[in-house]
Amino acid sequence: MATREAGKKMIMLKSPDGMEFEVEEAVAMESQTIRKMIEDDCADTAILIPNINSKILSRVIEYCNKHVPTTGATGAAASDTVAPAALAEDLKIWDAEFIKVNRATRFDLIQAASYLNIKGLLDLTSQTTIDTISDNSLEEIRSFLSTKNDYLPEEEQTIRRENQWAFQ
Amino acid sequence: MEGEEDDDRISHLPDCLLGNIVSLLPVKNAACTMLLSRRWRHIWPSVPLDLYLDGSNRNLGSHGQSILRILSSHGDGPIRRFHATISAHKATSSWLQILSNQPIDDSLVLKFVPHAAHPPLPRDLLRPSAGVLRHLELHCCCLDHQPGVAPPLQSLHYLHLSNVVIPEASLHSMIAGCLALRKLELFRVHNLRRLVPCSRTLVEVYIRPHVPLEEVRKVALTLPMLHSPNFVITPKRPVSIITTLILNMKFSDGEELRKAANMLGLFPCLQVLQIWCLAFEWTDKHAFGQWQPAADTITCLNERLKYVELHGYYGTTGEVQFAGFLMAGAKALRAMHANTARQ
Repeated sequence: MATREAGKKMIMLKSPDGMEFEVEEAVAMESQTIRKMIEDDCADTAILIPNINSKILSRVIEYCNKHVPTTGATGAAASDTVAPAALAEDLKIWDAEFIKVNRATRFDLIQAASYLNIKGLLDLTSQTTIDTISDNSLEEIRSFLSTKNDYLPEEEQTIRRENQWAFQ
Repeated sequence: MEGEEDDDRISHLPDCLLGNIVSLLPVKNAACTMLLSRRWRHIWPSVPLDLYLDGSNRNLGSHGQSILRILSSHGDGPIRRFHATISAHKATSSWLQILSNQPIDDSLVLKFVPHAAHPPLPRDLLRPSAGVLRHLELHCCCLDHQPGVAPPLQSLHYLHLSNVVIPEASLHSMIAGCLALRKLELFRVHNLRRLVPCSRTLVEVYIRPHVPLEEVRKVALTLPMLHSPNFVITPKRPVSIITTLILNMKFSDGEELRKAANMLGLFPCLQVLQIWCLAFEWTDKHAFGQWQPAADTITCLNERLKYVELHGYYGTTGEVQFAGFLMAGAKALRAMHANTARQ
């Protein structure tokens, strides 16, 4: 059941491993998936978030807490004193720190961000992967993505020939 | 231990998420992922293509050829945005042909370099995109579409034609088919003598004429309904090519009359003003207030305006006030006709 604490509406999120997280509605609504549930009145009791374990869910909530737009009395005061550019810079530094996780966690975060539809988090988690794909050789990318080259040599030759412009 | 867990999780990421990652890569890197493994072979071709070729992307080689190669590699996968700044080349018609078989979901920008001949665009270029394309920008090319043959671009919000050869009737039928058009920009549309943008949604029109005034006897412009609060015409500088202006007015309040009077200030060479009166309601006199700008600041009233026609004139307060304003202010006025015929 949604409860009230210090005048703010709270939402309960449950992970499949049984943990419960009470978060402000505004924070939960950073996720478009949860926003839709709330707007469609499907969020009366606790919302079960399938496929996302408590470890990942708590990181996602941490991200949303940081990124929720500051509104209301305290928020207004904060944005009066701090310039928007400085706030954005601060967020960037925070994001860079936040994404320093191992690969498994990062891929879990990608999946969670996709399911919960949090664009900022999806872009942030995907971007790290992109940097690796842009800068490294095919072999290094394969090893980073733990992908095995299952092409026959002649198949590989055909692809190279048909798409020569990409491999020059 | 951590490593094994890693492998397992990554291989379980669904294709659509891998696609999302690939879609953020530059096109060349994105295409390279096809070589990673069999699973990756189809990821990039299934991702909606966002192609930006503006000459800064040097490692893609000569443009005409590289566009052809990229489109061929992407196969019949979807296209979201296609923006190219290019010179016409022998491969041009080949890639334009490929492009005509694909719906483009969001935007199409084709800028051919101005000094070469204007390449003709295939008649079917926009057919697959008719229902979905939102943004269209064409520079230095020929559109010889027959009026009525091209399908209506129902979702188009923005249309920009620059240095384009298009028959007047085709341009008109193209604009009439754009049911959601908000912004229209015409730069140097060749041989354009008369512009009648029939549109209920248009809020911004930008025109820069190609032909100097002396070569043109009559250029008419029809503007959308003036009472829409969003309607603006840019630039604010005078457009001296227009000699006939057609306005649709409701005469509903002083604000609309002020807008119409100020609009006249944008057309210093105006000779004929045609107004279609579209309202029947009687409005109280006090609703109009002091809307009249100083008539002697409006160039066409001082010098050129000779004929005013009011169609569908009903004698409402607004109509009478506006007709009176023109009558008193237009120094070169020869005749004012008012009739009750409706559009």
